[in-house]
Amino acid sequence: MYPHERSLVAQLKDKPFALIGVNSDKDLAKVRKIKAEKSLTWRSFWNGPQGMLGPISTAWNVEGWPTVYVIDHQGVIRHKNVRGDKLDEAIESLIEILDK
Amino acid sequence: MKPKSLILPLLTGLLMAGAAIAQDAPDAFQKLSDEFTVVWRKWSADKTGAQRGKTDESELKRILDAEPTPKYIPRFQAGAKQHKGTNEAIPYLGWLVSWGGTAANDALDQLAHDHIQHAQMSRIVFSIALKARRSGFSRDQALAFQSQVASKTKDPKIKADALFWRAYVITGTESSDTEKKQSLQDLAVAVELGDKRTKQRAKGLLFELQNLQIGMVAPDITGKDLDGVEFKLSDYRGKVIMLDFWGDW
Repeated sequence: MYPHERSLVAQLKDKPFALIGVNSDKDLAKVRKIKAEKSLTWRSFWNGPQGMLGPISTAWNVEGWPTVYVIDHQGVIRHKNVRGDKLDEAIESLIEILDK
Repeated sequence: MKPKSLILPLLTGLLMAGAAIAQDAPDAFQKLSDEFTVVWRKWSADKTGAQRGKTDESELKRILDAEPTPKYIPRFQAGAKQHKGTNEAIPYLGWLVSWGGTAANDALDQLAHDHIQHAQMSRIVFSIALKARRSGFSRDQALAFQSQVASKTKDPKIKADALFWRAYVITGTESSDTEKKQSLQDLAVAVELGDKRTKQRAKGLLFELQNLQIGMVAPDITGKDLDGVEFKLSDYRGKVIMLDFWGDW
């Protein structure tokens, strides 16, 4: 998934788009290292030392990883768990509406 | 990054659900169940080996065709028949629900008919919910059984489990608005009656239904980023956001 995320971020860097992660690794030091090594440039919340049982994923009732939400510029949930090309299309079409 | 699920560890346990149900069951079931587990694991390892290695197609087909479950189904059915109407039949029926393929339907009917008050119904409503969500089991059949348990059981905790896992199937599959509406009420009851874990799960699902559906304004998130700097999801209002729950596994 990293390559896909990286290309999305690169491709949309001049657009009104943000990739926000919620990282559910228990070990913060390890995630920081991975972030640097794999040049993950986007911002992530850290879900805390309980990992998958941390407060953010619990509040959002997340039971599978990765879980993806696409949210529009007004904060409205527009897609849940779309993947691959469909994910790109979903994001691009929401940006297009904004650009007009 | 591989997909990871909290349900999966549960499911791995469930795969051996027959065995788990057998805790208080007599030795005959345990022996058969253990035998099946050994045979199935060996077959599964052979299959993985063959798929990874350079096995020629006919050999691979031979291994795939040797899947041991069909040979065992009649033996578990025989056990269920022998003990029909008594608690000793339950582990056999539980196994058939998990492994029996088309025989699972009959096993469920039997459970509903003879054992609806038994504590093991808690596990059955759960196991069929997971299978129904992954299309390993007919959705309507699962819902029908869960409804029966919910309406007939005298144990409020089992009722809560049945209602929760039914709502879980409804929210995870294509469902009508009536079913979804009903689920909200059922989950409220599950929060009321359930044990600690069911209560927590029901609250989570209720929140998801009420706040995390398409068309709803996403709840805000406040937290710290990986560098310890606090921020909010709503800081990014005005932009299209891809919110990605991830982990490096």
